[in-house]
Amino acid sequence: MPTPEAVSKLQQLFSEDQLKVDWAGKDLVLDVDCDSMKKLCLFLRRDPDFDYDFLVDLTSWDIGESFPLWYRLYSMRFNHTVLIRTNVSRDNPIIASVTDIWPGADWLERECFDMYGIDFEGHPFQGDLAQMRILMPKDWDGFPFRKDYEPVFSGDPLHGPQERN
Amino acid sequence: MPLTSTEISSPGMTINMGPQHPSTHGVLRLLVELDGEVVHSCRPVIGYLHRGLEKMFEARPYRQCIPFTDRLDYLASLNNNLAISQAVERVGNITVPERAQYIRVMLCELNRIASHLVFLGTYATDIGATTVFLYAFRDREKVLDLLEMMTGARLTYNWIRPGGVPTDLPEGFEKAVRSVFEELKVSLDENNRLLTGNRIFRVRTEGIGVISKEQAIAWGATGPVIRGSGVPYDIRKIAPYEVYDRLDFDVPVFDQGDCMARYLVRIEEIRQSMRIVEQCFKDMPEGEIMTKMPKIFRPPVGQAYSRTESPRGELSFFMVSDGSLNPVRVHVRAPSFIHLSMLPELLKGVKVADVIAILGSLDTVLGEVDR
Repeated sequence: MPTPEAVSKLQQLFSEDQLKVDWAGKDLVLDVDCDSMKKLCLFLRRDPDFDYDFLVDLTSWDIGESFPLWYRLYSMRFNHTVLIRTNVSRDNPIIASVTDIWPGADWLERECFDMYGIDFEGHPFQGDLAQMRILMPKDWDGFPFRKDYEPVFSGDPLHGPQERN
Repeated sequence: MPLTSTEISSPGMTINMGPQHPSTHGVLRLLVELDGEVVHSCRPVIGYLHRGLEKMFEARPYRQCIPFTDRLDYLASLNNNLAISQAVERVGNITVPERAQYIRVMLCELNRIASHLVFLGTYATDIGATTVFLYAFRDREKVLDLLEMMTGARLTYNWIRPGGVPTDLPEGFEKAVRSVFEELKVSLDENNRLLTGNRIFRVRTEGIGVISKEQAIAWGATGPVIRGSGVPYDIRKIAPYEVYDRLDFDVPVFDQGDCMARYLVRIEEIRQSMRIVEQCFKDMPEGEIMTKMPKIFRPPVGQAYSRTESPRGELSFFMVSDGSLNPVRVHVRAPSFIHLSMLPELLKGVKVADVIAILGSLDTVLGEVDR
């Protein structure tokens, strides 16, 4: 578990609007601003008091005006879990990629893009729609896990992706 | 003077492995670029089995999600049932009777044995030892008979549910399990003699597909893959669920990080699972097996995250509730999905024959990769 000194060191690094620190039982919960997310991740990975070297999970969902994006990290050394919560706006869903910190984030980020259309800046396939798609066909139109997604059947079952006029 | 391999420039060849190929263990397609016999690069193409299960969960009441989880990791359905049931219980603040927890653990470990036996058989076939396949499936049949005795099904059990388990142990179950275990212990030693000491098998697996400790952690590998690389990462130990904290078992860890190490971890895990099941019979208290649940289940607003150790690695369900009848979002952290993302890195520079050996040693199930 991170020491109180380590947590206060973390709080000093960010302003109060950028980062809110909370505890859920033994787990640390960090609410972070979308733009400061990458800086926080780099700090948590490199600082010897935290050393979160294992990305457990990364997921998103749709709440209407934005997409919450939750990262779950684990520290092998301290046997401790941290949950990073951030929000990506629906109009401009862009966030920095963490694939350079944890290479395991690669496919998890691709899945988030595939289902919700969140763009990960710095991902090796960023901007390449066909390469970024992972579970859906590469020419699929739209992001199927968004709540406002409406599948339109083109009439041809062999065609696959739907056509919009 | 003959030219060396570096002096001959070849245009390279692209080989398409799968999606319908027995060695890819499901509908996985590998685009392998070869330079002679050496793999230059590899790109896994997935999604052939994508059914949108996570989206389907959003359109169903909580309890109707359970049968879908059987279709995720179809070799260990009970472990999937357990993971989603735990998520529902956490989001709805439901406590499970102690006897039900013991039954759950027992059944999950039996399913783990069955799943690892499939690995043993199919991996041996991948390498070229067909005999072990028949022996392993014979043994798995006996374990499936036990699960059938308990749940009535052989592959998709749909049995563990929020609040507990639907039926108590059938009569004569303990005796049946003990007699199967006696036979299994003998045949495990038999397989050991057939495979572990086999010279061809050792040459094909030792030093092949080495994942270093740092690599395994950075890529988020879990389960037998990370334990084969020398990291004692097991959810049953680091974040115990159900009654695992009261049971005495070892986490097998091997340091080599090659295919052989991952194979040895799984073989040792079968033995440990048998130990756990035997302890469950001894420690199991009498009592209720199901909590009283409302007919219409409406959990409070909130989120829950349940981490479990499935035979393939860390299987987690993330569930968001908005107080209505259906979940808003269910996310599955599938271990095979993460393991498969390591493949391009792992296959760089290996011989084409080792592609199958490495892929088989990760023991992926495409049902949970594609969801």
